[in-house]
Amino acid sequence: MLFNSIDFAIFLPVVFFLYWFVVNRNLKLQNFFIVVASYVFYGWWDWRFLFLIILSTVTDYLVGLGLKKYDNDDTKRKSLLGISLGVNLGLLGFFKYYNFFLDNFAAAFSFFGAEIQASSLNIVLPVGISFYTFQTLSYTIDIYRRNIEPTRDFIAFTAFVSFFPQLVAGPIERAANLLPQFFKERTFEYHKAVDGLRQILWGLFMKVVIADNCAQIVDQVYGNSAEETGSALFLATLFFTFQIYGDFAGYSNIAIGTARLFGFSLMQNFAFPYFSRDIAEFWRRWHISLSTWFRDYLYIPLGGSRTGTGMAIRNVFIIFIVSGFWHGANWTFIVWGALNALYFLPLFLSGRNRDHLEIVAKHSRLPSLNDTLKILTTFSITVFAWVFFRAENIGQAFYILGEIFSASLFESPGFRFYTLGGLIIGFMVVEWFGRRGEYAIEKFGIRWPKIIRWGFYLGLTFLIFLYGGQENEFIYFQF
Amino acid sequence: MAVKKMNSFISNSKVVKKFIIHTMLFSLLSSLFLLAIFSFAGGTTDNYYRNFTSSKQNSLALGSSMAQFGIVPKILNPIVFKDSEKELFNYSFYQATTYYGPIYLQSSKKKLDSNTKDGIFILTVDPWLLSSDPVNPESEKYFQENGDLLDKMLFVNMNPNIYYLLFEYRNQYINIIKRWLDPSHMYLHKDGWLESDPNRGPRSDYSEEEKKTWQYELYKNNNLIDRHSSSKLRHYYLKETIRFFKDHGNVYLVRLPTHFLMERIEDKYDPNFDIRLTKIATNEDVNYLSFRNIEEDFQFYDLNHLMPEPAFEASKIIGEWISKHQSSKSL
Repeated sequence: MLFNSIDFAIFLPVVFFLYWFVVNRNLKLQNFFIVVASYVFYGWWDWRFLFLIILSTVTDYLVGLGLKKYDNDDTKRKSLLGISLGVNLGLLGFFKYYNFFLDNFAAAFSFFGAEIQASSLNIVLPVGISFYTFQTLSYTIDIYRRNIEPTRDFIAFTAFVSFFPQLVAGPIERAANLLPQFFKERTFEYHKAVDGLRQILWGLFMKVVIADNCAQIVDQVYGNSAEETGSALFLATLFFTFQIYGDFAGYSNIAIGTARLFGFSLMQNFAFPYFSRDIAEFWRRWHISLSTWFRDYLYIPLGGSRTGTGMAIRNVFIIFIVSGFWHGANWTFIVWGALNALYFLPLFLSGRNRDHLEIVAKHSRLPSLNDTLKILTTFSITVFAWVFFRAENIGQAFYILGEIFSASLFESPGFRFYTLGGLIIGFMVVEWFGRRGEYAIEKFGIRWPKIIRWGFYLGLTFLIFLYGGQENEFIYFQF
Repeated sequence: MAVKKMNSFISNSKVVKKFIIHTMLFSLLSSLFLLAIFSFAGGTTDNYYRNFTSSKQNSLALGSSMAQFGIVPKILNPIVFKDSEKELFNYSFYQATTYYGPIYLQSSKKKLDSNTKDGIFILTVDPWLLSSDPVNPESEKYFQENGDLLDKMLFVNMNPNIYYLLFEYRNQYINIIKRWLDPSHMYLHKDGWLESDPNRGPRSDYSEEEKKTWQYELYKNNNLIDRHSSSKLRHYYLKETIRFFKDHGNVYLVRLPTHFLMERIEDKYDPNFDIRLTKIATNEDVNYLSFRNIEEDFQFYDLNHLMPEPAFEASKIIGEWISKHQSSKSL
């Protein structure tokens, strides 16, 4: 079920009530209840998807125990890890990439003059498969590396894999962070729960008011790109920049806030990426759980930056291209990833990829002129790359870029955008002033009188209702 | 240890209760916002909402968008009901699947005041309302209305209809207010009649002939005929609908007028439609009026939907025809 749906609005309080009032006397029972609630949440889309997540869960639970049992047998350990990788990446590969590889395979053959008949399968992509497979893989890989111990508690492990707030679109949690929380008694803390609600509220605002409003224009313009002016395409791309941020970071905020209601702490997934001063900083702030996953489980095993310049460059490209490909079975995502690699490389090779570790203007109200220029430059190149991310195919992406950088950029776009523009400006102002927190309104108005603070939250709620009424899916569900 | 645990549990519960109370208070205040937005809902909201806000009715007109545009209760009422305070309600739907079937019948039953004994029920018919999926026309499982609006609408007599606004309204709520302030070209009256301003709708800058030609080409190119197949099961449900409403009053079958280009398509698809419906009407002991037999030059927005003034005329004709049959029944 969607977070921004009536179904979830009913589901959450029921689960909350049962969790804290009925099953809370026994930790195992409480964990079991999380499993049940999570499976109901996930099965709401399609109950058949449950078989896949159960398969992944059981496989990695047993692999974890096996890795411990054969602690001194490297061959067996490698085989067990291979099973975990095979099952999880196999599931992902089949459901997500089968048709892509088949179509490209056929296209490659026909390029060389040999036509082959390749019938694509009508495969439904299970929601969240890219997320939970990576989450369980991190468990088995960390055990293999002897970074963590496996658990014998099957219920706790199942709850870790299927935990509904972050199941379908992250953050991709590490076992070292989330799994131990299922072994500790959870005590309800009023201020943490209120903080969780606040984060949910902000996440809903980002999704419903910002992302979904941007989506209306983006879908219309990109769906009809051949008829649109350069200015319309430019504005649509700009709005997509905020759509994807509002959608994905909004979801993460709702997920993290919801987890807090149940006494869990999830990792921050977005740290105000559009205020980044260079692309390296952007990638430390955007989809943090995925980028750190690739760093720890792909980049470092490949040698990272310790294997000489040539290999390091290769590793950077691999990471970004695989990251792009993770998003979807389309060449556009691969190009998007490669483009980001090209952006990143100069900083990396000059050793300047760790120049900006703290948030911009940490001790001042406004950024310096230098920082402002850097932010605008980083933002611009990010927007450029989003064209590939959003386009249906490479041809459309180049067409759109061609139109944007043409005289038709100065024609009228053919639609009104001032209300949306105003909302986005207001949104970014709040994000700016809240950039030192985990999410924009974490500390916003915290010193105001209660009545004014509640007035602000009610104002956000009013805007959410005004722009609500449609249940739009989150973009990252398709990944 | 057990006492400590119990104390912790009690203290935990108190804190949770405090949290729930504060959350409920916030939710209550938030709900007031939502209700304030919903208070603007009405005839300008969309083409469906008002159909679900009237109370149970004792006389109904059923059909597709053709009926929703073409049957005007305020014209029919004084003719058919004369001095009585009874009124007809137009329970037809625009762009919703109102084929004769179990779902439309069930929904109509919900709309009817079950105590009605002498109501008037106008069932509009055309070849499309008695057709279904071309591959499986006789299987209810493939009925197009499954899972559609009428299938999901649990409450059809609620004002305001919170259920519809929360679960079925397919637009941002801000549009409820926007449309109230600046209505679109369509307005759904309280009696269910859908009125459209021909000077403001889509393609209003087309000439009349351009609009017709455009839609004719659209139907041809979209293979309207290929996407339908006459269904015996639908005919069965038409009869069931007739029989149900006969227990509550008098039933009249009406085939509304269409543009001659649409007539051409319908005749190609189902040339014996009028003959068949006449037979059904006879067998079910109801009256059937086909506008194919009426020499009148109606004007349409497109190939199907009557403009307001022609709709008044058509409704007047239907009203007088019903009145004539009422008189002959009483003799």
